[in-house]
Amino acid sequence: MLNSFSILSLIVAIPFLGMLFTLAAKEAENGKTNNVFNVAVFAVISNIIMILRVFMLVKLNEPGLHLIEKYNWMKKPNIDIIFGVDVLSLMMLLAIHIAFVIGFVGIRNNYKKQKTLMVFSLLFLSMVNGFFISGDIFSFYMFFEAMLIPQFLLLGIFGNIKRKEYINRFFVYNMVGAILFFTAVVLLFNYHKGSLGLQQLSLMNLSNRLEYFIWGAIFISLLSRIPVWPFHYWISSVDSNLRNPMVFIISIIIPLTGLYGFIRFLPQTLPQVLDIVILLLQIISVITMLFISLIGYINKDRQYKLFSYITVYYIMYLLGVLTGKEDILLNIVYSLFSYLLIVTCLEIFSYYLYKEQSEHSVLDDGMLCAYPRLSIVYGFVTLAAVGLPLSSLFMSNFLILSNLLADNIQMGIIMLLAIIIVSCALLNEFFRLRDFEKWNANGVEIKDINGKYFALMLFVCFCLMMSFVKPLWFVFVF
Amino acid sequence: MPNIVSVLPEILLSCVGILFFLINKYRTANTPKTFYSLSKYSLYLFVLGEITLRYFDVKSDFFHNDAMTVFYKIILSVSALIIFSMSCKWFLSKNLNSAMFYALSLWLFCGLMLVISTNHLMILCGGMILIMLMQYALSLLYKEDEERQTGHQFGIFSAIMMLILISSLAYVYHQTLSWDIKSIAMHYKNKSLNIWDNMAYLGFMLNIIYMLGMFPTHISKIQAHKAAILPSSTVIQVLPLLGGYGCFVFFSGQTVVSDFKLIFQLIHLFAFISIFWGAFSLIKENNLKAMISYSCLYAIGVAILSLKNFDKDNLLSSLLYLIIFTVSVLGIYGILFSLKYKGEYLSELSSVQGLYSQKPMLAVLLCVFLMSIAGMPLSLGFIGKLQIVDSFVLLEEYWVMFFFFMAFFLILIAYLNIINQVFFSEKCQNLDRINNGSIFWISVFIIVFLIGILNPAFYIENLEKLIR
Amino acid sequence: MMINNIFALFFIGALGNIFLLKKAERLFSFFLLLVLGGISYAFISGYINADYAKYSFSWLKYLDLEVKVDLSFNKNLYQLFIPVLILSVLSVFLSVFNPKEEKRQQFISQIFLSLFFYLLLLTSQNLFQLIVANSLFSVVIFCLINDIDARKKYAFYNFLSDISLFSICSLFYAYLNTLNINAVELYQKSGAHKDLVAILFLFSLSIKSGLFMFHNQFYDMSVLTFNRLNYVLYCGTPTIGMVLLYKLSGILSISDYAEVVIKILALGTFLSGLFNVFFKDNIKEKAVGMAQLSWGTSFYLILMAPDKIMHIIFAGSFLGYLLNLVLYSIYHISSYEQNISKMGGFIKNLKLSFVLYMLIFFCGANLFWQICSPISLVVCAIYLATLGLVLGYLFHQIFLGEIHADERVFALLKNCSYAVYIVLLILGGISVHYVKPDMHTGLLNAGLFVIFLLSFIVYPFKRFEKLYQNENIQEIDVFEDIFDFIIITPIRILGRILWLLVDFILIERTIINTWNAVFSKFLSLLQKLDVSSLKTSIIYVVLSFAALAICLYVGK
Repeated sequence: MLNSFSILSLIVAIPFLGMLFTLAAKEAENGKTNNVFNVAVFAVISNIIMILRVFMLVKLNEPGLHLIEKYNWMKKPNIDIIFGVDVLSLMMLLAIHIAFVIGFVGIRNNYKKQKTLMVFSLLFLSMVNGFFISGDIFSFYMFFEAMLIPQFLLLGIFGNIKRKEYINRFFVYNMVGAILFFTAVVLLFNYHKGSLGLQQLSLMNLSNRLEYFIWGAIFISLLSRIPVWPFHYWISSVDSNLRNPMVFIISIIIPLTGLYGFIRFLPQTLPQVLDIVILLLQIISVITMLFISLIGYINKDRQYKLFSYITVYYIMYLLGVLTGKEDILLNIVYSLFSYLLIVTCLEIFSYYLYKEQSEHSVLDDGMLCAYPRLSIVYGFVTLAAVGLPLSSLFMSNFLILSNLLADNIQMGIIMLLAIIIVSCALLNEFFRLRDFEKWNANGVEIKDINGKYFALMLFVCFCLMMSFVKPLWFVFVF
Repeated sequence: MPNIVSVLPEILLSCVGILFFLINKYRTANTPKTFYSLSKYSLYLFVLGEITLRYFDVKSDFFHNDAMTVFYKIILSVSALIIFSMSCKWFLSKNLNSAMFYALSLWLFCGLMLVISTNHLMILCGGMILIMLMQYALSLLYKEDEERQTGHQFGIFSAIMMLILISSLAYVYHQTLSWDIKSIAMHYKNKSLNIWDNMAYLGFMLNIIYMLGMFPTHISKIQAHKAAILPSSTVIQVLPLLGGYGCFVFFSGQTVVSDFKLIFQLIHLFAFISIFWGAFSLIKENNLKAMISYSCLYAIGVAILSLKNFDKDNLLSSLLYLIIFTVSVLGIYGILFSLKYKGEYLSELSSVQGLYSQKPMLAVLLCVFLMSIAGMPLSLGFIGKLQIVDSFVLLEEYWVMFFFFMAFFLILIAYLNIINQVFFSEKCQNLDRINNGSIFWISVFIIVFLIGILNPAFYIENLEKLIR
Repeated sequence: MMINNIFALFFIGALGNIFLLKKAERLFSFFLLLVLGGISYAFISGYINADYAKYSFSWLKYLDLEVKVDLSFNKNLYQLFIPVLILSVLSVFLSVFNPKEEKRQQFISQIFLSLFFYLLLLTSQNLFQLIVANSLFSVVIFCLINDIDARKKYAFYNFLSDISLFSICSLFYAYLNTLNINAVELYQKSGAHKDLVAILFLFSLSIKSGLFMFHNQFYDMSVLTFNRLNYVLYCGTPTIGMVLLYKLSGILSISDYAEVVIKILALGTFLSGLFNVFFKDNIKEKAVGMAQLSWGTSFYLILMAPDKIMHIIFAGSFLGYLLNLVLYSIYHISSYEQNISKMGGFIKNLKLSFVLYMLIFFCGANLFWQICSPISLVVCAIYLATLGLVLGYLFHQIFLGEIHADERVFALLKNCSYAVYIVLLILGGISVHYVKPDMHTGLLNAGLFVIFLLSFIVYPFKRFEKLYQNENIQEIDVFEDIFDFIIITPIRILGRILWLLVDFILIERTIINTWNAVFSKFLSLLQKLDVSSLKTSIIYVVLSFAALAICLYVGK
């Protein structure tokens, strides 16, 4: 039974309860009060307040997990579910929740199957919350796998993916990773004779064969979430076709879980043979980065450009994590906060433009000229995305690049090239949308984004700027 | 006398079955609910009787009356109750007479009770024969002449299996001059076994396997299950699975002292093949009932494969897995009992295309039960899978674990196809209203699931106490 | 306190950009002009009174890394900042009094922000502050450029420049383990990949400063208003490039060829500027060409005397801005006529302006000579002589010769506005203040006058006028085509090949199809085994007995 009930369990429970209330809420009918939307957003915002509260309770300077909750789940095998947080997990939780708010607001006027979308999104959010507050390897694995189901359903219902086998393959190979993880967890359980805290794992000294298998299994399972070659193929075939922004946002959180796993599990004592594996992984990663960036550059689809940007940065963070330096790890977490917001905003803006384009039957060349407010925020976010000092991305890029250039100059240059190409792709797209000469309104009356939405986006831009000035600025404010 | 007392509940049940014929013949104002109610109360009385017998610790030569046996019986009773309840609605909607169905089911149930609890080889064989006959009869129920071919095939195969059983029985008795299973086992322990001993033992095991629906005897049962009416299918599939498992555990547990190691290895090979056969066959299958059969084939293969030795821990894992699987399968049957279109019950996969757009809750529940069978986390089936994998690790059966996961992926691919059809297709026919009985039982399953997910220790500890 | 002035620049700039007034915009802009004037006064006072107060505060702190923000002043920094400040004030002044200025308030607010980031760059003692200030300055100038095509090219070029600088600083941090700018000189001993650092630095510098091969970004800006254009040319990224060279001059010692390359680029810039001044018809493009002459000369001089950079920047920007201002006023006078070929014969109505322009040119030239001739007589002489020739050539086309302007333009010709006069006089006054009349000054003026007259009266470059009608020359952008050919096109082709080869052929057609084929074969085999007949069931049972028998036999 529960040993102590605390705020962390609430963070998992609130979206789940929100999901249940959303199920009960009445669906909107073209302009009437949207209870489904209101309930869903309320649930997410409530959780944001809880997370901010946790920030106040946690001593951020002290290492290790805080606000530990222990729950004896099973006696045979002896499994304790442990919840705990530190600055890493809290930042990720906050970023994801803000991304969800942005996503929900972005799709508020899309009434088709909105209830389904909200329900599964909240379920996914609940699973992801559980994942980030996991303090032991077992609960880590459970939520790691459990989040795939709502994602799979969302992809299938809203993904607009013509060939359903892509989704099946996507799900199956994610499961391959999850099963490897499961095997590693069960083996560790039997080795350790009980629950294993996340931090204990990296300190364990295992026998050779077991060590190779455990770390190999964990690495492959985490890697399967990150779009490194050849996993990129299935991820790209799904992600680049997504037109529903909420589903896209959920899909980009999946690689984050893999990255987070690497941050948590990178062992302090790595067997020597794995050095070669790490080197190979680094080589494949930079080649993937370059390769994806090139394809993203030539691809005319805005969604693919965004996907290539996401991929390049995730791999860059992975390379940063593999350096193992604490400063870099902390910076990556701060950077991921901004990165998630940036990508979410870009996706929402892109979706808005697609919607407007189809509604007014116009081409999108120069379209931003008709939306001055949207243009401002779009421009800001794009500039932040390419690495200008408008968000915490800047510092993290600096530290990762300096490390990589020092370790291996060739890899560092390739990574740099990939970042440049993908940034140019985003800039190109932005300028194409701002090209006034190509804009042909055909006499159509176009309305800009409304004031509330613009205010929310400005607030997000403000958060990004503040993250550059002081990553934990909100802790001091609240 | 104790022998009769200890089997009194079964006798009463079989009498109730006979009573059904009389009621059906002489009472006119009968409805399907009449026989359902009678069955229901009979089962209540049966359970009460079993508990009473256990409480008073009634011992007999022919039957064993330990906590585990009573547990099996109660589980089977509850399963039977659920199936009878759901079937009642079926008969009501079809406006058909349910007397035969309930009678046959009760007798099948009696047969299962006998095989679970008996020490007597002849009674065991008799029970198995009774089960086979009842299954045959159920498969033919309400089928027209031209539709009965599959049932007859099933019957013929059952007859062959009966012959094997009787031959084995005769041989064993001839060798040992005893009917007591324990004594027979001890006899063979001290003796060097020849080919006919092994063949005879295999004959018994094949019949138990046939009850379970495992390779190599699965084909005709699957076909019979597919062709039979829905209530009969449910009874044929679920009850012998649980009962057969109990019989297998007891019989093998008694005879494991003997030197039939090769046959156990062969059975594990059959279990292994069953897992893959079930998994592969699921992928191309389009009939929902057949899919359930193949899932059962897979599950029983897993349960048997994980039973390397018969120690308590091993048994706990395997049994827990099977029980959880049964709950999930009953849940799926509950959904099948709810899928009606213009009065006709649907069984093809194409008929549930776009189910989510019509009955979203039903679609979600189907997904939950399928994921539970697959063993996805935060479903009840995950606990079962965890137990199985844990037992593989403890037994250092790493290769078996590897193949288990391979089969798991195949199952997953198959279930993903179902989910694709249910959730991602637009087309859907307007289904009839779901009956209250199905809603009730599905709700019960969900509560069981929730308790299991939030506090699995509640189930595991209680089960462990029983086993120990 | 100086720190208050620095932050005032930021906050006023930010607020001015956010709260845009539609009504009373000009009044508010005038208010901003006064504020900027006040701040300028404070800085100049600070310089005169040697207010070298130190301001430093901790910004970011990690385990092994601490980043501080330095806003401390010294004499050199004042000397680098004040010329830009003055030119900014003059630009704001012109903006306020120019009725045709677009988005006046926004422009002025952006000037405030650019000055703030320029200060941040000047005062930086650590690499992080340097690259942040540099990037943010580029962003402000990006916002200032209010034409989409010009912005696009500017954005791409400066993005590449900033990221090169970013990479250099990353390498410094990696090898030196410090962010201190002064430690850059130690890279010679303890650093690696020195050639790469040198190449990246040269690349960044060339783009920033609009040196040869990367100058076309400024030609695209000829669509901006003249005032904006002038501001970008003399207070924008080219000046930042020179400041970066000053801050990171230690890099030049890392590589043997860095200086040589910069000299070659400077020369190329000068020649390119000359080409554009002579052959481009558009007056704004000529102005950019004039700026190129200034940059080329300045860079050459900086390399010869790095410690005198503040003087060179002051003199070079001053003279260049002054000459551009002359062109600016001609542009206004001729009712915003862009093409020189449509001018001519303006002397009839603009005698006063002509004399003023001449005087202003000589003042500026004298100032330049006074400051820069001690560094290199030859370079300064060549530069001023070139300017004399160029100005003579231009003035001949504008003031003498046939009248090509249409009647309306000619009829509206009048001397330039008082605002321009005031600015010209201020600049002239500053020049006179610095110039010390002596024999060299007299010789310079005489020589300049002769060269100017030669070009103006004799007009030896008459044939160049024909090229004004040549569209190829007017539209030419050789380097954009080259970059497109050697960089963009290969990227596109490579991307296409990779997508086809790796994703499509290797994964889709090979791996996935093979897997699907194997899987299907296996399934069809199983379907054959799983035949639902009695015979099959019996066979399996018999096989199981047979398997047992075989195992027993083998076991024996």
